[in-house]
Order: sequence, then structure tokens, then C-alpha cells
Amino acid sequence: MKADEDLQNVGRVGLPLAPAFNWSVGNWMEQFFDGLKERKIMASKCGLCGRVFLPPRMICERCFAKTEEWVEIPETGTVEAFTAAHVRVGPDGELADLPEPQLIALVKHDEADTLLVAGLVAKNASAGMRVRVVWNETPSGALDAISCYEPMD
Amino acid sequence: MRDVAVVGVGLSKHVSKRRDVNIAELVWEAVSAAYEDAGLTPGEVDGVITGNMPAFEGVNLPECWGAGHWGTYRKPLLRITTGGTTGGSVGHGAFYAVASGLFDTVIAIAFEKQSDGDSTAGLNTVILADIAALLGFGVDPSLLLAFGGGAVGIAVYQASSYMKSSGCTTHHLDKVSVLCRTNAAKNPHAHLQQPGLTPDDVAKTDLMQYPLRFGHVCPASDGACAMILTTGERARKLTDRPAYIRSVASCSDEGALIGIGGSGTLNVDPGRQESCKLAAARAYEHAGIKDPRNEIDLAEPYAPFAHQLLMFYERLLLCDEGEAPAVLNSGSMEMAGELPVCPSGGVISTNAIGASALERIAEAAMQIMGRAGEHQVQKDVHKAVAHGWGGMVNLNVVAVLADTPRG
Ligand SMILES: [Zn+2]
Repeated sequence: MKADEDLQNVGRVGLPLAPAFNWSVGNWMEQFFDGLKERKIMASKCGLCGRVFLPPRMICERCFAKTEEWVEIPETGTVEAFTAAHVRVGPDGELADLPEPQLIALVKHDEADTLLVAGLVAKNASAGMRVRVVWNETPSGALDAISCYEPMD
Repeated sequence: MRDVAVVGVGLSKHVSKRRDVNIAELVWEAVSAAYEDAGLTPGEVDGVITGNMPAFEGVNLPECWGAGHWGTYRKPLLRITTGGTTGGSVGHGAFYAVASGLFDTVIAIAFEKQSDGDSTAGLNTVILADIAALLGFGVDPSLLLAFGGGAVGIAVYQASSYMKSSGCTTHHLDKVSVLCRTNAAKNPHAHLQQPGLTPDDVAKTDLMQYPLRFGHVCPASDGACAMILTTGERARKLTDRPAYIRSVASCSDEGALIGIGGSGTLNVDPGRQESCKLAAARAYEHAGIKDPRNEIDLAEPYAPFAHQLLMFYERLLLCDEGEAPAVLNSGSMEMAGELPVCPSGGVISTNAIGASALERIAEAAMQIMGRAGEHQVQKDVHKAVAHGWGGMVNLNVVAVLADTPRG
């Protein structure tokens, strides 16, 4: 037998695989996507406890009930929590510095009980800050219809 | 150890592609059916044990975002994944939870939504390092069907080995497909339902890889199965005829897939499956069954490939080795036979991989509870055996169910 340091065959091998996935978002998220195309923010509501899910969820986990009711949600909301990113993951998979910090917020829309995440364009951020949606003029998909949030005043 | 019984079973309809639901929503269909079948709400269940194949859908922790749809709100949650045996291991885990006294009532949930994923990529995640190493060290990629195809690849060697040792012919394989797919036609949850299928029809399907034709091989299904287990005492309050799980046993043999570290070899003939015999013997012993050939009324072997129904019938000690082809010819395995096999239609008709081995237990339970509907077998089912095969094609899991608890 060879000594450990003489063992040669430890290869770094690339994989000749190109996996493809076909993600089904389901009927509830589909409604959300369709709404965003018309700049409508649609949420589903539990008929038992009244909880409003944004984005919509088929099941209210607390009640184990289907959310059958739909409500249109205002463009306004409140920042629940935020962060400022100083780095991002670059195309090579490594971290790269951002030219300037980017604010990202968890926003609870008025009349909704759950949180959406999106960029926040503001001089300063704070929890409790009132914000509104900035619509993307040229969305490439469904979810980026909400470009970011901006302060209400 | 406490008595454990199944009090509710739920399955989704299995099909190739469920584009209208996401994973969590698909699984909900089986889960809500199981709660309804048991007459329980999630609030009356103490924990959730779930499983599916690793990364087949490209999501390696589906239970962490989906389980809320399955009634886990503020409950203990545990995931088990052991390859093709996953569903069986999930069932065993649920059995351990109740038998041990740690939980009174649990739900076992297993599923696969193959159409969302890339199953070849999924299978490769199981043995990715080995595949990479094989290529890196000069293995001809054309050989990789046998390895990269995972269970499919190994099944053809297993089939030819079993056929040589047993005298099973391709005609027997054709008849196995007919048995299963015509049974599946009576099961509303089954995927490939082929009433009126004949052995000649199967024999005319294209050869996939010798000796298996397309007609001998399972489909890829989207589907889910859920089963509620509770103590014997509570079960008797919930239903007149619970299905007791008398015992579970599993046994892991030497690697039969690919060897270790890219060696590309098998340590044992995949047609042997000695670990199935060992697991079956242990399960029968713990279940108080001395003579399985006469005492077992129904068998649900895990057979995604036609030869496996016969091979595992033998390895489950239900006849001598080499005898299963003759048992098949006798008609005993049919729905009206003496020892019906796969009245559900089996894995060769329906394969949502992670769910398949749980569905074997669920089918045995439904048959004992008399809740199998159109695919209820003619005879009264007092004792049944349910099996799963997987791991690195070396793991066998066996459960014995009965209409009475262990004496
Ligand atoms: Zn609710």
C-alpha cells in the first residue's frame, strides 16, 4: 500500500449532466401571477380564521382548511424587517462587492397577514416604515412585476 | 411494545403529470383523504413522518415548506429517505413511533411528483460522486445506462440472473404485467390501467434492455400516499376492523448497485436479495407467523419490474425458490386466487417512487379493513405481507399486517 500522500487518484470531475425541472406552481400561485400582470395584488383568505395569505396559499396551515376566498390587496404596506446587502453572488458563484448597499425589505401589505420580500429604494430604512409598490414597467416574468418598494412620504 | 394499527388510508390519483398542483398541494390530496378515512383531524394526530426520494423534484427538503399543507402545524416532523424503500421506511418509522409509546397517533406520508423533476438527475444525486469518478477514471459512458439508470439498470441483470436460476421465461414476465395492469384497472388510484391486456400485447412492446420490454417496466408517476397509525386501543374505538401492523423488519445487504468509490462493481448478485429472506423471516417471527405459505392471505411485493413480482414472492418465503413461475401459472396470485398478489396493480402499474413502498402497506391495510372497493379481493384477508425494495438496491423492508393484534 502507498502512504497517504502518495495516493494520486483524487480527481475533480465535472458532471456531464444538464438537469431540467418543470416547476408546477399550482392554481393559487397561478392566480397571483395572473393578477400581477394586471397590477393587481391578489391574496387568498381562510374562511375559518380570516387569515389572508400573500402570496396566496391553498391551505391555511393553522386551520387545515382550503382558502377559497380571494381579496385584492392595496399597494401599500409596512416594513416588518429589512437588511442592507453589501455583497452579491456573482456569475462565477463567488461573492462580489456591490457598488453601494442594497436594501431588501420584508413588507406586510395592508390587509394581508403574511410577508412579501422585495428591494427597497430609500435613503434610510426602518422597521415600521410605510411603503408602497413601485411597478416594473418591463417585467420579464410574473414576480418581478413588483420592482421594489419606496417610502410613502 | 404496544399494538399498532392502521385506521385511515389516503391516496391521490396517480398520473404522469399533475400540472395543476404543486408538490405540497398534490400531497394534501392524499393526506386529507387519510384524515377523512380515519375520521380524525390533524389536531388529533401527534406527529408527522414523511419521505420522498432525495432531490428528485430538485427540492431536497420538501417537508420543510410543504408540511404545513399536511397538518403539521406545531407538530413534530421527521423525514426519512432510503431510496426505493423510502415509503416502507416511512411506514416503519411511524410504526416505531407508536409501538414505542412515544406517540399515540401519527400520520405517515410519502410521495413523489416526478413530472416536476428530472428523475435521471435525481437518481444521479444518489450516486453522483461515483458517476463522476467512473467517468473521470475512464469508464465508457455507454456502460452508464447500467449504473446511471440506478434501479432500472440493475434490474436487467437481476432479471436475467433470476430467470436463469428459476426457469422464469419472458412469457412469465408478460403474464405478470397482465396480472398487475388488469388489477390496476380496478384501482381508481392506479396509474397504468389496462383492462383486457393480454400477454401477447405485452410481448409486442419494444425491448428496452434485455430481457425487459417496455411492457415489463413501471411508469413514472406523480402521486402520494398517507396512512394514519394509532394504538390498538384507540384503533378499536375508531373502527370495527382496524388493520394491525403486527411487525416490521428491514435488512440491508452488501452493496449491489455500484460498489464503493467508483469501482463500478457489485459485491453480490442483485438477483439474490438474501436480505429480503432475512427481513421476511424476522417479520414473520415477530408477527407470530410460523407458516407464512399457509397463513398469509395476500402479498404486496414491491415490483417495478415484472420479474421482481416472482422473485420477491419467493424471497418473501411464500414458496420455494424457483417455484413462483408455476404459482403464477396456477392462477393463485389472481384477485380471486388463494394468495392474491398485488391486487392494487403493484408498482409496475403505479410508481411515484418515494410513495410506492408505503402504498404496499396501505394496500394491505385497506384489504384487511375491507376498504379496497373494486379491487377488494374475494377471500377474507386476515394476514398480509407488504414489501419494499431499495436503498442502494440492497435494502429490503417487510411489514406484516393482520386483522387481530399479536397474541
Ligand atoms: Zn385559517
